[in-house]
Amino acid sequence: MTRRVINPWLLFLPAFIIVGFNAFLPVFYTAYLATQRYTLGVPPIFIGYDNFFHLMFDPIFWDSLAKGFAFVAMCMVIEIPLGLALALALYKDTRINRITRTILTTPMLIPPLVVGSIWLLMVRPDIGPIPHVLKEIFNFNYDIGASPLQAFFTTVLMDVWHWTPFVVLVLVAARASIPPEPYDSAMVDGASSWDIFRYITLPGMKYGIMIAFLIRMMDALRIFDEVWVLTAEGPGKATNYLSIYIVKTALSELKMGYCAAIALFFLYIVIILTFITLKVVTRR
Amino acid sequence: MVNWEKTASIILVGLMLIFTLFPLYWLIVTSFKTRLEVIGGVVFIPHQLNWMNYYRPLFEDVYGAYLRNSFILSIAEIALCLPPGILAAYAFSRLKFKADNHFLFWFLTNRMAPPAAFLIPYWVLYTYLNLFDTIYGLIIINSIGNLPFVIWVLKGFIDAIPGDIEEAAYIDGYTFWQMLRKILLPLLRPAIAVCSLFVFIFTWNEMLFASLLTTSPAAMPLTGGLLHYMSQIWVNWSEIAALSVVANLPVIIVIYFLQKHIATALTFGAVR
Repeated sequence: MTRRVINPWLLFLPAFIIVGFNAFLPVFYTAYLATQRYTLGVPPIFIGYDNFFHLMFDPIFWDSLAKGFAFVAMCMVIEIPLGLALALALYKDTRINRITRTILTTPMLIPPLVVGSIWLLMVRPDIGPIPHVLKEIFNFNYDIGASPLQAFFTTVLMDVWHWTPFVVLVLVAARASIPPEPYDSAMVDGASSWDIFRYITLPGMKYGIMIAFLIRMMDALRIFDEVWVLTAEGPGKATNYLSIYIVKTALSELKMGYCAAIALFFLYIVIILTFITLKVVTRR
Repeated sequence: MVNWEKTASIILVGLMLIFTLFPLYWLIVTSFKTRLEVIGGVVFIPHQLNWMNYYRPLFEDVYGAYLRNSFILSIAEIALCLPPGILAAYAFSRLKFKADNHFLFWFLTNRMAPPAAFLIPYWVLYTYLNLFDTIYGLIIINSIGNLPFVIWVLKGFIDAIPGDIEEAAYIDGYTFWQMLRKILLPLLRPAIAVCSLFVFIFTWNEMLFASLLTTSPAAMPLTGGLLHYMSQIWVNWSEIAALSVVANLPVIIVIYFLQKHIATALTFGAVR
């Protein structure tokens, strides 16, 4: 359209003001706080880049970052193959598949907090059915309050429950967009089903898998609500993911300045990842 | 010939259905148990439906007020995000202006930013602006994720509408606002409905700000209230389960309508 019927800035401005109010002041204030030594109740003192210096040598912070990425990696390793298998089983647009997909999608929109409370009811040693059954049948002690490894894998299991359906939906769409012709000619040539999967299905779904991977990675890195409810930071800081560490630093230790420094660092990681994600997602 | 691929996929889907549904079943069952049934061992089928778990927190405690706040908050959020969202989406979709792509990216960054990172500044800022512990404060803060979402999704929908219709309207002498009201909005009605439902759900689900920027029953939504309940020492698990079921209800109601759009909405329109 060449015709200038309305000034675009006029249309853009209301949204810009609302989001800008929410975005600019907090970022600047965070940047300011990061240069202060500020424990709640004590007046802040300017200390320059000291918080960042401290950050570089804070073993808990690096541990938290490592835990976060371990969590992301573990979730991806389970969710992507599982989602792929389910998508291939469910991609045909039949009535029964549509109903199954709707049922599988339910966990995605449940409040994350409730996801946490659901899994707390499932795995608490005193009331949960999972520890109960494991104890009765395999005589296996399952206690997320005592074992760091079990706590970590329980958060992974919870995330698998919560977000595998998302991977399924994305990959179903990816599978459905592959045209049928290559399959027909592969059938005629007598290709094995593994070859068909390896040389037609997988390359055809590459873009979908990439999208699912990137978006899941961003979300898993930011995870907070569910883990906060289920284990908080977990026994031995086993589930001390970045968001949890930030909130703990602020609320339990009341170190506002240091919290702001971690938050800025986290924001920096997220902006880079968002940039990569959007480059891939909007490429078409 | 035994079709093992088909058998394997049926078994896989069956296991996944059990894995997905059992925790939900357990939540609902727990919400009807008495305190003794919850603590006294693992009971898979309750003896009777104990509605007290729903009645007491909602009608004799403050959780009814929390529920009301959640509704007000989520509906007001739609009212705040949709009108500016539609205008900005139109600007990004149809009109060229300086640095438009950078602004679009900036909007999306705000959606992806971890809420935990902004916690302290908001806390201080809201105390200073007298927005602490008010529903208004929560409405404003939730727009940081929801408004970019609306812009992005509606931009996709407007991109899909051919521009000739608008051109014809302008030739007929419509002003922009007449065109918007008589042509674009009716065409966008389904998209706006979908966006509104998603904004409702996202706002309803938000927990971190809800629990930290509000404290009183006059402003705190259900998610915040539920978190505070769970952090108490004396905990009635069946009431927590009952409140969790209540918090799930809007999702269960709208999921059927949103089914087709979830993938699009959560991938920034990359999947259709």
